[in-house]
Amino acid sequence: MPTVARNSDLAVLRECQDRRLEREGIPMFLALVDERPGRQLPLPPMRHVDGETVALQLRDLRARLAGSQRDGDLGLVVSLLQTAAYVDFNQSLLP
Amino acid sequence: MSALTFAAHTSAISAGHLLRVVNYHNTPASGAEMLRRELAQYAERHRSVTLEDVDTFFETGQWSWDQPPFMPVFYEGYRNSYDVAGAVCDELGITGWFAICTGFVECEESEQEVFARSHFIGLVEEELALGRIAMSWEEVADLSQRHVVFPHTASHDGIADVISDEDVEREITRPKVAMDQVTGQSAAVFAWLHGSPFGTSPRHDGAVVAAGYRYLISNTTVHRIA
Repeated sequence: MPTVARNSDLAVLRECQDRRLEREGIPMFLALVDERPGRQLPLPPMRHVDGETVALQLRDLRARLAGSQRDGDLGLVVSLLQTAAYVDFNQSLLP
Repeated sequence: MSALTFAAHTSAISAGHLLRVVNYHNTPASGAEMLRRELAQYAERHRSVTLEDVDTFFETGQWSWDQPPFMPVFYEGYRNSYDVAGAVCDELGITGWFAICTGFVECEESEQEVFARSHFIGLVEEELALGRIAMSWEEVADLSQRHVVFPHTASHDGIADVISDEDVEREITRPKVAMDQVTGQSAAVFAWLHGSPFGTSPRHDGAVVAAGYRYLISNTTVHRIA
């Protein structure tokens, strides 16, 4: 994978995880899941462009940063969600 | 029980089961202006969610507006969560979510710094001169009128620290009882230290459900559990 892209992703990961807990907010993406027996969250009537975009960004990020790691590595899931959310929130703050 | 894999998370997110969150801890007075600026900027392009909004989402699978939903969460139950964060949220018309360690709130003022240092509650120098470091129950009650308050255990414990039945009672059950008594509401949400998810321990999951919570917020997911 391109070194430049991976280095850039690592830089963002470092920056978002080096936020000072005592003073700075930590952006994050959360999934919403219905755990009630026999229940499932209804799907939206149309494609959810925002959700699909974020999911694609996450998959691309994982491929660039940690493609060999296992799917069930929850620590990695946290890092990836955090990194992608950090970029997302900072982009939303641009004029 | 949902899978906790990367694939499961991206599948849910792709379907629009996605919430943007910003997690705050200490919000000291010296950072009030930065916090105000940051939350105001988020609010321009996102809409903060109420508990009712989240309930409706879990019934319909949709938010009833177009802007991305957003949840600012203020952890631990600091006095400055009320004085600073709560005040900023009030000013901006944002619904704040306050994850409160009830043992911190209940702690004698003279012992709060030791409690904080003993339970992974980070402190900044400027608040050490304040005297009271933790929120009061009156402040919790006041916040609950306009925001969402919920227990984050009593002792700021992780799932691995809650072992005996007594631990379960103290860290899961009684915090809700105490909070409900002062707010007149039924606290709907629970969160573990370290953000442990629903689905890794049937015993703990069962205890959280039995205590009457209907959501567990973990590091990566808002779990509707009842």
